[in-house]
Amino acid sequence: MATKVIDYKSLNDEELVSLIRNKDYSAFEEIVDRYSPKAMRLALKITKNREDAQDVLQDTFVSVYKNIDSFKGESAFSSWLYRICANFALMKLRGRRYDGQSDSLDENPNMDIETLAAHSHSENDWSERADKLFLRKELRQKIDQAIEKLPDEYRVVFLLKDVEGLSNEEIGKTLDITVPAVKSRLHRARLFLRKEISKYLNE
Amino acid sequence: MRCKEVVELLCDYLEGDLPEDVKKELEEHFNMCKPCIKFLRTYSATSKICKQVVEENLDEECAEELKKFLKTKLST
Repeated sequence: MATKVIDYKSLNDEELVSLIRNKDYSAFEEIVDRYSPKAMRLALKITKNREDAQDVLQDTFVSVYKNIDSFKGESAFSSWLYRICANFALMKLRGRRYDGQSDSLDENPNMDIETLAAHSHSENDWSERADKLFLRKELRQKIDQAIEKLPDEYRVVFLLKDVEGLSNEEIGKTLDITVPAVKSRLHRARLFLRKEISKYLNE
Repeated sequence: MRCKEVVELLCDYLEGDLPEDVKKELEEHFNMCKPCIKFLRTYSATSKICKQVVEENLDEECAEELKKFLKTKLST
């Protein structure tokens, strides 16, 4: 009798999760293929260190495999995975000693709300050119640097929300902070990045 | 409503989390204040352009290495 060949690539995340629950290792490998580049990107952006990001990635997927039964399907599988990844990345950050970086958000001069919120008639509205601007390599580098400059607490929220698309509730749960705190960090992160882009484009 | 208050409300405004009366007041301000409209547009474009930049650098090369590690660690 012919063995049934499963085309794992054609399965959706929920179908793969069911197979992983039954210890189908090939289904797990498909999940690794599907999500390791994005998880690596998130880990790298949070930790800002390649070696740490690789550790985070390994811990994340080991945890996904071992704890698959704790995924209840209340959120998208990808959100669950990104939350695990962000938690391991944050653990790495906390384990590292930071040179003079303040834990207190309000004490960070770069994130002063008055400065970030300032705007004037002379400022360019570059929003309509955003797609074309994206093609400029120098601007992309500036944006990358600006994201790196964000204090950790802001960067993580920004990445989880604006890049990975998690809900405010999911981010709050991941970081153990309230939804208003998520929004406040997100808002300041966006203000900071907006200011950096505008500064570059108005130069 | 002052410009400073407008900026404070942008995140909630874009998420549709503002009470109807505050939203109305905010939109009335936008109708009168060009710098705030520009601020709203660039604020909202910021998320879009930053997402594109981060997503551009997908790292595929580590996937094979990771799979080897996981196979050793998890296969029984």
